This record gives sequence, structure tokens and C-alpha cells, in this order.
Amino acid sequence: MIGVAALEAWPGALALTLGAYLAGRVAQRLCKGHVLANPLLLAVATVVAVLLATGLPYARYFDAAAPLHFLLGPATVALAVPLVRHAAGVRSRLSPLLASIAGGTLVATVLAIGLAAAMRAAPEVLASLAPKSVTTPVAMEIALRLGGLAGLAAVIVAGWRQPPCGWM
Amino acid sequence: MPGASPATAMVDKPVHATSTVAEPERTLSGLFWLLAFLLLGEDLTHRLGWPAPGAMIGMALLFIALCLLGRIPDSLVKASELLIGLLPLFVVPAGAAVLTQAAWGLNDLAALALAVPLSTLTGLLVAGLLARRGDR
Repeated sequence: MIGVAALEAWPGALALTLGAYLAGRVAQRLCKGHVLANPLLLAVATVVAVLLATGLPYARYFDAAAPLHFLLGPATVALAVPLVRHAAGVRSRLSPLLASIAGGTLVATVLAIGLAAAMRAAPEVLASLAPKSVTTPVAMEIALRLGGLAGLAAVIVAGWRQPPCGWM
Repeated sequence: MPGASPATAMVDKPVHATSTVAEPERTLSGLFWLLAFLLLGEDLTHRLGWPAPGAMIGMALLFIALCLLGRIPDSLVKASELLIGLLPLFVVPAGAAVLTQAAWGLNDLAALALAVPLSTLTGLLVAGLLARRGDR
């Protein structure tokens, strides 16, 4: 068994994160891409389980795994490339698509916040629900700025998507 | 192309590819441009005090730049495929923060369990109906 001291140094944190995500992808393939076999959700669950089992505080894990977190920045910028790729096909149907996206997003957001508020969810939970219709890294930033929780926003958004497939 | 050597496969890239540049160099130059636009985005948000995160501004700037350019350089295709393919991995460290945020009550969990699926499905339904109506 690897000790906590090794786990909270960067090789341990990176190996844990990468291994958990790899296992999640393999599980998704074995489940033939079932919605619930989401690699990100499985990886988060694995990391959380390991942290709970070893007693390693989350903040120490995050500091050690920060190199992976930093790569979110350039990866978010990279989303411009598939956007431009699809822009040509989108242009001919721009107005129905914009109406569809705006309408769908508005309904989903209002309904999510409304339902959760009606059930008296905590303000942080409401703020984490607000950006549910945008892509994960963007949702995390928005949730933080609204006083929400980035981790919860990531799980809310990712639980309904299969980011690796069909983005490009 | 079955049986093609890696070297010829590289030459047969889309017309805009600079065929003499080696593969790793191409990916590296794509990564460089992504970082450059991220830096530009960060700089703008700090300079102008915008509330939007630098990465989103960088993405918007790159989108505009590529639209003006009228094509997508192969370097950026390579680098973005690499990073976007691994994007969920980069979300795991921040996502694991749900552990520290697990202090909610039961009604928070119940609210999430009801609000997330119901709002998502309704939103998809509305989006689909609007798109179909607009296509007619």
C-alpha cells in the first residue's frame, strides 16, 4: 500500500488522477458508452474514495494535481477550433440554431434553478446549477463567480455529457 | 492509405498543411498558439477588469482570428485534438472538490436529483422543437 506521504507528492497525485480517468474510460468502453458510465464521474468518484480511504485532505491532493488542472486553460482555448470547424455548417441555419440554443438553455436554466429553489436547496447549490448548459470548464468558472462550487458544477454538467465523443 | 509510411502520410495532409514541418514541431507550435491566446485573454481580462475568465476570452479571440484567417492551421488542429481529447482528465482535480462540498443536507441532494435531469430533458425538448420549427 502506498503511503499518504507519497500520494500527496505530485507523482502520486498525477498517477492517481490519470489512473482513475483511464479506468473510467475503460469502464465506459466496456459498458458500451452507457450514459452513467461517464469517465469523468467515475474518475472523480475513484479519487474521492482514495482520499477518504487514506485521509489525505483534498487541498493537499489538489496542490499536487495542479499541473493537470492548469491544462484546463489551453484546453478551453482549444475549443475555438471545433467551433470554427462547425461554423461553416452552422451559418446557413444560423437563426433557427440560435433560437434553439437560446430557448433550450433558458428553459433548462430557469427550470433547474426554479425546481432546486422550490426544494430549498442551499444558495451554493443554486449557483452551481446556473451554468449547467455550458461546457464543463466554462461552467466551473461561472459557478465560482456566482458564488457556487466549481466541483459541483463540473459534476452536474459532466454527468449529462460524453465530452470525448463527437466534439471534433 | 494502407501501407503508407509515416513520412508520406504526413505529406498527404490537407492542402494548407506545411508538409515539411515534423509532426512534434507542428503539435508544439499549435500548443504555443493556444498558450499565446490564453495569455492574451488573461492579459485583457486583467487590463480591462472584465469579469469573464481569461480562457474564455482567449477562446473567443482565437475563434475570431481563425474566422479572419479563413482556415484552421494543421498545428492548431493537432494541438486542440490532443487537449480536447483529454479535457475531462483536466477537470478531475477540480471535480474532486465535491468531497469538500459534501456537507449539504439531504434536500440539497434531492433537489439536485430532481432538478438536473428534469431541466436537462425539458431544455433538450424545447431546443429540438425550436430547431425543427425554424428549419421549416
